[in-house]
Amino acid sequence: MNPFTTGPASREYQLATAGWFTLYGVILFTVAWAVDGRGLAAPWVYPAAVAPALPIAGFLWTVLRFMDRSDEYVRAVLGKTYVIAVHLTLLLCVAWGFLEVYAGFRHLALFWVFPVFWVAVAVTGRFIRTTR
Amino acid sequence: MKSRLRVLRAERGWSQADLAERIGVSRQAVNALETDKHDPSLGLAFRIAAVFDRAVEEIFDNPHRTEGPG
Repeated sequence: MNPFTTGPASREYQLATAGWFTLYGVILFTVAWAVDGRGLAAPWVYPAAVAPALPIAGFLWTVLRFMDRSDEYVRAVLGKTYVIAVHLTLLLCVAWGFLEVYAGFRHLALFWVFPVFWVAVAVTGRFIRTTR
Repeated sequence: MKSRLRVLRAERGWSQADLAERIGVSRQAVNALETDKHDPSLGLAFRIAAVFDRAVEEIFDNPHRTEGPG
C-alpha cells in the first residue's frame, strides 16, 4: 500500500502537485516564448527568468499541508522519503559538477535540479514503507 | 515492536479500515503497525489501548522490560 496514493489527503496532494507542475510548465514556456520569441529584455527579463521557480514555493506549501493532514505513519514515511530524495539529488548534482570540472562532462543548467529531485522522490517513494 | 494488534482486531471481526477509523489513522498506518513497519507514538499507543480496553503493554511488547507487566 502506497501511503501517498490513497486517502483524501493524498488525493489533494496529488491534485495540487499536478497543478503546480502544470503551472511550472506554463510559466516556463511563456517565459521562453517571451524571451526567445519576443526578445524580452532588461529590466523585465529578470522577473521573467525567476518566475518559473515560484511554483516551487507552492510545492513546499502542498507538502507541508499534506504532512499536517496525515497521520504519524504517513508523515514519517513522507519525511524519510524526502530526506533520502534530497540527499540523492545532492549526491547526483555534486558528482555531476565534479565530472564537469575534471572529466569534461557537458554543463547542465541548475534548473535541472528540480526535475532530478522529483525523479528521486518518485523512485525513493516506491521503496520506503518503514518508519525505522 | 511486536504487537498483538492483528489478533485483537480479528477477535472483534474488524477490518484494518474499521480499526483505522476508530483510532483516527489511515489504513496504511494500521497495516504498518501490524507488520512491524512502524512503532506507534505514545499518544497512538494509548488510543489503541483505549479502543481495545487493554493496557498498552498487553498489546505492544515492551523491549526494555525484562519481566512481565505489573
